[in-house]
Amino acid sequence: MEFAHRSKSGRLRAFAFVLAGVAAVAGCGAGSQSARPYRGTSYGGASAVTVASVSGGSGGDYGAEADSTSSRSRVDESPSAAMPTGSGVTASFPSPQAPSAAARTMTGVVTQRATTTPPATTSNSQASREPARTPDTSTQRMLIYTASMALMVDQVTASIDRAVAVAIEAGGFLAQRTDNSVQLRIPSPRFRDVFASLERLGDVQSRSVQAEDVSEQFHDLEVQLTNLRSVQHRLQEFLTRANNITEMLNVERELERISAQIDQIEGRMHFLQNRAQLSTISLALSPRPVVVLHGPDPVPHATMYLPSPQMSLAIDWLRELGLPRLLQLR
Amino acid sequence: MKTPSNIIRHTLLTVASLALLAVASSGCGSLRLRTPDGFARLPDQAPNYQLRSVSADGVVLAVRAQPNRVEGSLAFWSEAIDRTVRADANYVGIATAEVHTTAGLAGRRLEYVVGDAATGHRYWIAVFVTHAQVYVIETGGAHGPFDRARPELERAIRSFSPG
Repeated sequence: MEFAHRSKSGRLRAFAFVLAGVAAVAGCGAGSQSARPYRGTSYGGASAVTVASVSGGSGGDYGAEADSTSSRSRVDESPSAAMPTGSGVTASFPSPQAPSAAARTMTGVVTQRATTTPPATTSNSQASREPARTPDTSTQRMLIYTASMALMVDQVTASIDRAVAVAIEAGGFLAQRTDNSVQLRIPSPRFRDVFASLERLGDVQSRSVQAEDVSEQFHDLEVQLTNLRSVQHRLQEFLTRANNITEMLNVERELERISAQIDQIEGRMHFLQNRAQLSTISLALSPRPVVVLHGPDPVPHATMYLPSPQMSLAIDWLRELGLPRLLQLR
Repeated sequence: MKTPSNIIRHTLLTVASLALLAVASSGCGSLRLRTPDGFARLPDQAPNYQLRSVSADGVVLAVRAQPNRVEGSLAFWSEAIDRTVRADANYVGIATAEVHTTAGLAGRRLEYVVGDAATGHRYWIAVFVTHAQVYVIETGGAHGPFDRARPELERAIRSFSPG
């Protein structure tokens, strides 16, 4: 600037202008420093706890983020920032879009910090940024067994009762029952034994067994759940250090969204676990055309369905042999 | 000295002896089978059965005797009976055993099941053959009562005597 060529009053005005600029810059620095919850330790000092614990970053990693947070903090804290009243800067409330923008920014920050490579400075940050180690499930497969069988039996109702008893004895339970069918839930370790026992109830007409491997799907859900819980924990820490209502609302909104995702994933995992822990066996029973005998009755009524004889000797008394005649007392 | 009374006595004795001999040769009236413990013998089972007894829970034991007109052997008759019974698909043959009576008569026991293990029946046929007769000892009943009576049934079969 050409101070030398101006009048004294002009120099005074220029000097006042420079002072105002310096004051404005100083105010920016103060406001930024007050937004410590969003800064790394290199910026905020001892009070910047939450972000440091999450990111543990050096200043260089968060330079750009710091700029965005500082600008956000200016917007958010303008009502309460200690702006110099004499600087001519007008304090204003944040616009309605600002909170969401801030939330998006914060979410982006959280997400970014959650995915960047953690430096070897803070053990807490490193542990929180890496996906939590889940138990090694690579060798334990999660299989969902579903089986169906069609049986021909003498007495359908009694056979269904017997099938239910077999299931209960194995630690299972009846899931569904009709006049000629039953669905059983059996602990998966007992699946084979129970299936073999049910086969002995009658003549097997058809059978099918399906095993669905949901190990990978379940593991993916575990990883997602772990990451979401990590994010949830960090948001809860943010919430405790929120400086105003707007920040609190933003954090709570994100917490609600994360919680909903966690509930959804947990529900899906519980569903898969239940299906894998309890196998499903469906039985369809039909009556067998057999001799119907009434045992202890004094005069039992016997009905026999005889197929065509494969061999016939000319000896009549041979055809008199059999249970119906034997048990028909007189 | 042959007096009229002596002649009459001698004639009566001869006739009686002949009658007894006829009955003995036919074998029908002299066969014996021990009634198992817990069983009651039923009267008047002819002509289908020579003997029949029943337990309180419905197990039945019966003997029938048929003339061996074709002079078949034990192997023939046991095979013929087995094929005839199994011609009905309801009967499932589960075992065959050689049996002997206490008198030394060799026979064969054919074992069947009808229905499933929970609600079905057991059915045995023990076959004994002489040159004149075929003896068929049948026994059957529901699984539970039959299994409980099994020792007595085996003992009764061993006691069989065609006479």
